[in-house]
Amino acid sequence: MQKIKVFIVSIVVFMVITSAAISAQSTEVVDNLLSSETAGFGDSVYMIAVGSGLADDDSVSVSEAVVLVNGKGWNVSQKSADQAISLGELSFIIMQALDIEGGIMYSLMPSPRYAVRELKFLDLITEEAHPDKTVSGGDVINILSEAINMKEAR
Amino acid sequence: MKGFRIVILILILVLAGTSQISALDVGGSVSSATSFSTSAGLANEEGVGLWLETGKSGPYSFKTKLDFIFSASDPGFYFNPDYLKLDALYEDLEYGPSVLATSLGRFRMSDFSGKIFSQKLDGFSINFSYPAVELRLSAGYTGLFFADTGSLLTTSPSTTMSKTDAAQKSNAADLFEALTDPAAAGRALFQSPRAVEIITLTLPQVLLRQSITLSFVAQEDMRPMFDILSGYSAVPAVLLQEGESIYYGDQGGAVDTQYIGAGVSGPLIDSLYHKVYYYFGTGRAMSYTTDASSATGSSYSYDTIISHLAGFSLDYYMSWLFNSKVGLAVSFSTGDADATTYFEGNTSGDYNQFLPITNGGGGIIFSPGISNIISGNLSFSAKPLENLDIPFVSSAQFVLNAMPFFRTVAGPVYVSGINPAYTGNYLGTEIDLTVNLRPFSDLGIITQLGYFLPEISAFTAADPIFMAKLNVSFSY
Repeated sequence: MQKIKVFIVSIVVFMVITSAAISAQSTEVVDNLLSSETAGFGDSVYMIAVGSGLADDDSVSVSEAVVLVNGKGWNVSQKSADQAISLGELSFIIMQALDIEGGIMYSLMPSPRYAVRELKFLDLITEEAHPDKTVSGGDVINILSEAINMKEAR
Repeated sequence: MKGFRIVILILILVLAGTSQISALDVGGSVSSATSFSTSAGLANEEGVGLWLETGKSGPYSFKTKLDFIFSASDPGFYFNPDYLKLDALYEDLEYGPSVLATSLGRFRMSDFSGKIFSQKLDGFSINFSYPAVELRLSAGYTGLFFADTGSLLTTSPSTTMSKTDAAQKSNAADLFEALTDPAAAGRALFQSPRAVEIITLTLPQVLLRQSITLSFVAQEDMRPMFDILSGYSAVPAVLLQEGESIYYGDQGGAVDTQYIGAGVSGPLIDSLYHKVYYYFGTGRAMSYTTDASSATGSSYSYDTIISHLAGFSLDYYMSWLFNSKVGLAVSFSTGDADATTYFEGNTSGDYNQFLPITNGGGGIIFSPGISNIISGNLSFSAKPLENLDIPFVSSAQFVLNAMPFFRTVAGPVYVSGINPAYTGNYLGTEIDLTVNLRPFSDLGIITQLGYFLPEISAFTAADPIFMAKLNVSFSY
């Protein structure tokens, strides 16, 4: 129950921060994420694209969000929407979508590995920070909402 | 060399056991430490660390780190296996504890107060978490740690509890010397061989959000069990036996100790937190006392240790004032007024010197530990630049400590240079300023300034001492 409460609070915070009117599309993605032990690449990228303002939730689908991010030239793994997203990929996309500055090694060699370490340093990742680790849908929402929070506060 | 082979064997076994884990991360760090003091001059060490971590594979995860250090001021190389840890975490168990966590390998262990034992140990730890109680069992061995791993970058364990330990430490060689210098043959490569067991029972927030902790700590000198001196070194010291009538200034017997303690911690009012602890220390230590039946009029015998440690701390957090904290900590430990030396120096009655397992502790200059010492620490820390948009320094944290030190009784303390004619209690006051700077997530800079003002009559050389330290580390 505690985990469910945390997820719900995270979603509410996320909605308030982004001032996004939740569309049916977004609601479906959030439902998908909350029910998944292993977050999908498409749903995660969709949430990041909408949360960071790269896309309007009314105008893009999950697959379009994947194409949008893949076309950004961010050196992110080219994955299909139904593949699992790793913590490294999630962190790397969030860092670039929200324009979060990294450390010296991230500046020299931007990669999922150093993105994970940056988000861990910023306390956005509170548990094991391993780039190859798979993440749950709840983790995606938590990390993204915390990152948006931090960005707004700066 | 036998111990070194054991370390390598354990490393190979653990790596083989975790070879099926797919997620593997390897990284490193580069560190530099420089210190200058008016008493010891300039010292510098440069280090490279290499670490390996596996992600979680089921309940298991593994991590290890090796340090290679070069000392520029005292030319030499050091090698230090910093940690090697295989963790297992079992959650939502159907029977027994709700969470069961185990750790095996080399890692930091501590009693609840951090005063008796706080250092790395080769051993295991099992943590049982129930809704209303938490039980942790830890045990390990100190004798596989290298005795000499430098002085600035690494914090190698410091377990010196007897005259034999002190003789072994003063005759230590580092690994590089042992492998390359024939003159180092026979010198001690490892720390003193001691087994340590810690049992900690915590009742979290049972009443008024206060946590109650009960603790039992024990350590045994393993020399009587192992032929450790001939196997690990040729330190010309064997344990003295009870009844020996001739006095040996740098030799003693086994020192075994046990500690039973309790503590309470938690919030008081608002953002004020407290911690209170007490330990009763007992065990045995050798002493040379009057014996009418001895040919010399005296002989060695084991005395019972009866000692006490108590302390408290108060911390008040002020997030509204640059994330600052004001702290006050006081500790009290018994000493032995009739002791002639710090180790095994009792001459009559019980041995009242409180002997922690981990030595030292205090300021960056004066660190007498908690044996025959009453010390205070008034501290203030803040991040005054955090609201200013200044690149690189806005995260700077400033920590100021003022620490007066007193002897509990006019007996020996764990520092050298005390004037034997001094009968007073006040030893001196140290003031330290630490600035922690983290301009980037992977670059850390720690600057420390310390000033120790000794009581003039307490020391044979009582000049004030100034010390500056700079530690820079970069991880990749």
